[in-house]
Amino acid sequence: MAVYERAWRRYTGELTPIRTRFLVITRYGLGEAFQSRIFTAFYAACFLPSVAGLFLVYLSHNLGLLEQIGLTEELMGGLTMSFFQYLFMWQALPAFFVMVILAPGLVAPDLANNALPLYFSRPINRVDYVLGKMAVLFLLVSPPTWMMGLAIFALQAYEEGGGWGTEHWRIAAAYLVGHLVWILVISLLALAISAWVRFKPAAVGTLFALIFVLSGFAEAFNGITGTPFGDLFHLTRAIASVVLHLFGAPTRSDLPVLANWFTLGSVALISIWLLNRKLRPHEVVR
Amino acid sequence: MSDERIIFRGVSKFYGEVLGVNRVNLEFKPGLTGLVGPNGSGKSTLMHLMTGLLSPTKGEISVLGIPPNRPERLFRAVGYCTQYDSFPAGATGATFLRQTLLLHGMDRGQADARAWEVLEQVGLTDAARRKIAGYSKGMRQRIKLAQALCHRPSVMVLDEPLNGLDPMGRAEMIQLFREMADEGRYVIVSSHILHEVDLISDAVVMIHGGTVVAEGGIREVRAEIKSQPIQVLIRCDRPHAVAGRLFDFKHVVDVRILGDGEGLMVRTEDARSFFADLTGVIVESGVAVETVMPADETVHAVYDYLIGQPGGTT
Repeated sequence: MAVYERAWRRYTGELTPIRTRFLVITRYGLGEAFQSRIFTAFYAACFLPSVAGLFLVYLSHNLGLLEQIGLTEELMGGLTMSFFQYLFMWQALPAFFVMVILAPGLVAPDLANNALPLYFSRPINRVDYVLGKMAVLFLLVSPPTWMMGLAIFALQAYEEGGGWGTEHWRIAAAYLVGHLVWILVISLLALAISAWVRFKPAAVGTLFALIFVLSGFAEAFNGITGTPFGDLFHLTRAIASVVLHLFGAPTRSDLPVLANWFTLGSVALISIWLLNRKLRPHEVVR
Repeated sequence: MSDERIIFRGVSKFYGEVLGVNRVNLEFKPGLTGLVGPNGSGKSTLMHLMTGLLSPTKGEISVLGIPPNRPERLFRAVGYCTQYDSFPAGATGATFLRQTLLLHGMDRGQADARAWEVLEQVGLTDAARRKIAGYSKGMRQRIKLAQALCHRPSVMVLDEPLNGLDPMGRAEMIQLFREMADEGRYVIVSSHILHEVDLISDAVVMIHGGTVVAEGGIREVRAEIKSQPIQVLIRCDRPHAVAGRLFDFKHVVDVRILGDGEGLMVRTEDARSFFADLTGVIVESGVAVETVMPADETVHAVYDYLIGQPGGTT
């Protein structure tokens, strides 16, 4: 046996913190997302409802401007809770499309091309991988949703003054919690589906189909049994009810809001389980 | 003091009811180790177990004292070159390496500098800004090697790293492996190109049907195969004279005169006695000997004896 002299040098420089290294995956994921001009244009359009919201809030507090464009103070007077609820919906809808379009491209190609052994032969684990991919969606969807929502709330609170912000804190909470829950659930679901359906267009189709099929099933179940228990499978109704509850408004489901939370939690947990099953460096084919 | 060994203790891996590897006990030493076996023999499973990409069903693995299920620690010490050809979409050679180095914890400046250093080492400087999707098979093989060695690991695990390389590329890569091994690193290379494994390896691990059938230096392994007489090639001017004398020895089982009449091939059951007796024969018969060398102390021959026809099952 040869005797070797240890003649090479290991890297001895400072290392970045291990807990934030998943952001390298995020950084490259974001770069890839904006390579498509169509996506970039669509993403810019996602800000339109929020910009319109900001404009309306500003307009409602500038009587002179209202008169100039021929609107009465009564028409715009008192931005109601409904305004914020509609605005939430118009923020959440395009954000949903952003996630649905983008998520399959983040995971499906890695699985289809057997790239996971490559990823997992670096100092990251499966949790880092999922966090890195989810962070792409979170960073993209946050600005046009809860960030803009809070900005609109802050403008309204500033313009209105007199403790309006404190009095209507539920609006801010609804924007923050509602959007975050929506982003979390849809991101996990979209990533899980694209891990199983490895062809991007098929993954997008499956995600839409799943949401609509579940909604249809829920309605049919409610109709046949005459009970509201079908709502346990109704993902969009669950999120709508949770958000409305956060706003302090009546929900759309006859089930208690806790049941809607249960639906959302179950979808998230099932998605994590699916990701755990599929995101392995080596798939065992029996 | 940290453990400086790579150890498998009673390691088995089953895929359901299908055997991956069975009761493997191994200790790798620094230097270049060739992992040899036919397709499906368990070479890749062994590598995946070593790199934590698979968990053992039974047994224990330690890589320099690190359990393979701790990727954040393991991959500071280990570089792995997978056999799969997969890269991030749209990545160039330079961006791919930079991303790898960032994941290894280097800052952007260091990652950039090191990426270019490694690209030069594997001969891809000119192609660094081109997309990997447009690389040839050999170039993709090189960039995979680059990502395995870029963070200066102590252990290199290379799964079929010479596949797809042209002869010049193979020679360059073998030289690179040799240099890394000579520096005292562990370089573990799986290959089914036996003559290359023979050329580069300090030791071999032969695996067949999920079981390790031999391990160690090729000469030691060959010496252990008692059922196969050792072949010795003798090139000399009067082979018939030598052949006649050799038959007097019990340990000589076969002597063949070479086709060109300029030497003979001897098979013996006891190499040590044979070489001792041969000296006397040469002196007494006064033949002019050009070469005496073992003819089957090669990976190829050992593989043939232990596993079967190389190429037949691979």
